Amino acid sequence: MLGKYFQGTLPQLIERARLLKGKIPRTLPRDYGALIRTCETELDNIIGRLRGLQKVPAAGGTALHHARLRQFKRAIADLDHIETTAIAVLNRAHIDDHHANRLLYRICQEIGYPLVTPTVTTLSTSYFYIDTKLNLMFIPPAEGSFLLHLPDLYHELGHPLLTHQDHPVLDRLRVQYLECMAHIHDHFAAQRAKEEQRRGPRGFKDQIDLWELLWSKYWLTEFFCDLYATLTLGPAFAWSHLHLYLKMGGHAFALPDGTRNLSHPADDARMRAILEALRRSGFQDEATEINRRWQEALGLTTDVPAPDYMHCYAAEPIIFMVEKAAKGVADMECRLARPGTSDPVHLMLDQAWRHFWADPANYQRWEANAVTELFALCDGKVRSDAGSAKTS
Amino acid sequence: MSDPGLYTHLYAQLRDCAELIDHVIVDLETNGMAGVKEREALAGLLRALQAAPASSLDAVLLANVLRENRIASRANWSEIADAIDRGDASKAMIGRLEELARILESERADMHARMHGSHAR
Repeated sequence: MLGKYFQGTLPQLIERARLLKGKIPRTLPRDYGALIRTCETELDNIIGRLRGLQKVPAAGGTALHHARLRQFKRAIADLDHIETTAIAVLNRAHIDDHHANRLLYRICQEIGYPLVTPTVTTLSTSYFYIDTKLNLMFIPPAEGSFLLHLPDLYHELGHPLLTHQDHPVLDRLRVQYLECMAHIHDHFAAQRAKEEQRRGPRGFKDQIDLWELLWSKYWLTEFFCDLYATLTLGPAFAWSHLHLYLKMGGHAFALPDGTRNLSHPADDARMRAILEALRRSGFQDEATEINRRWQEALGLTTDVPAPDYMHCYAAEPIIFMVEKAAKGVADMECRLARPGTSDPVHLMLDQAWRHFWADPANYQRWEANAVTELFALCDGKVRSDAGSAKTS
Repeated sequence: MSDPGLYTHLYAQLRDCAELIDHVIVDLETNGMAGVKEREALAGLLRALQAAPASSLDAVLLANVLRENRIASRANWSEIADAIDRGDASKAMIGRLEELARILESERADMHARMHGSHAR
């Protein structure tokens, strides 16, 4: 059956992939070159896999047929993903996207980003995120007109650094990441052993297993990206985290349970890691101020930590992780944010938060001018001392 | 990063790992010799999984998937790695690889549905 099905389907799917290549627009600015190349390479890869399925003989055991069907499904899923994301983004590229791409390029230049600058689209339906395979960053449509959340761009830039393999510069960060992974494993193994020794309840041991799984599967990556952003941008990222918590955050000390697993670490744990990284970077005063505001923000809610909270997010592994991430980012020779850092985009994002707190009532007016100035800077229309100017 | 990004990150890893295993199954089932590199890669990955799961991103991924699907967590992966090196295409050996491939495929399909915001089929 499968042989006949493939005989009819595969040529059609190959044609679909070829058709998509023809749908890539030809008149986009050069910022889209990397995404276009990625699309073409991915589509060629999918066509190759589909053609490979045509070559395997129809005869064979059950396991062979199962494997071929799985390979087929994966090729279709990949084709679907390219069509509904990358091709859609390329076909709907907008002037706002062009501005965002120039801004991200400028940021990558400033911080010595070791990979090709991701392409940005303003077609996000879910805040900021990056598709690491396509190297395509999604931001909300209006986000480029405001400054306070732009620090999250730096967080997103962290993700590809942890996924690309066989890259000598990125290996320096990955070594530290994997050391943290092993450390987390040891940390929870020690907790489990302690619980067994004192014959603790089975339910708590299951909790420890769940915490370890979530740290390993999701949270360590998120923490590392927060730390990459903090280490390369500084206090503006911490403010942005506070901002996001107040606007969209859930329980600041959320813990997963059997029915409610969390893809992101608790906001409080993230802030603790961010503040630790700031202190290590020479921003002690800023860290104190941000922590004061953070505690005030927590005071506006009824959020309090559950008794198990510090078992899940103990101080020791968080400090260990901050040390390792700082070493990894420094070893990659990225530009680290320090109190004297004067790169224009860095200064602009830093200034935005200073203005916000110093004069909240007039912030919006200041921001409108600053955004215009920022995009003029990114378009090469003004001198690169923009961040220090026009602050009235 | 919001959830879709985390899912695409995991999806790519799951897909690559699943592709590797199925490539080796097809190779063993068809007595092919084209997949020597893939066999070596899979054997290496399974040994890492047994000895030091935190030694590579792929081993971490596989360890997590197995932990969530306890059925496969008791396997001796070094033994399976040795069998791959030998080109052992016995029913038992293929069966163990298939079990792994099925679990990964199920995870991959789930992640794909999450990436696109729906579990609808």
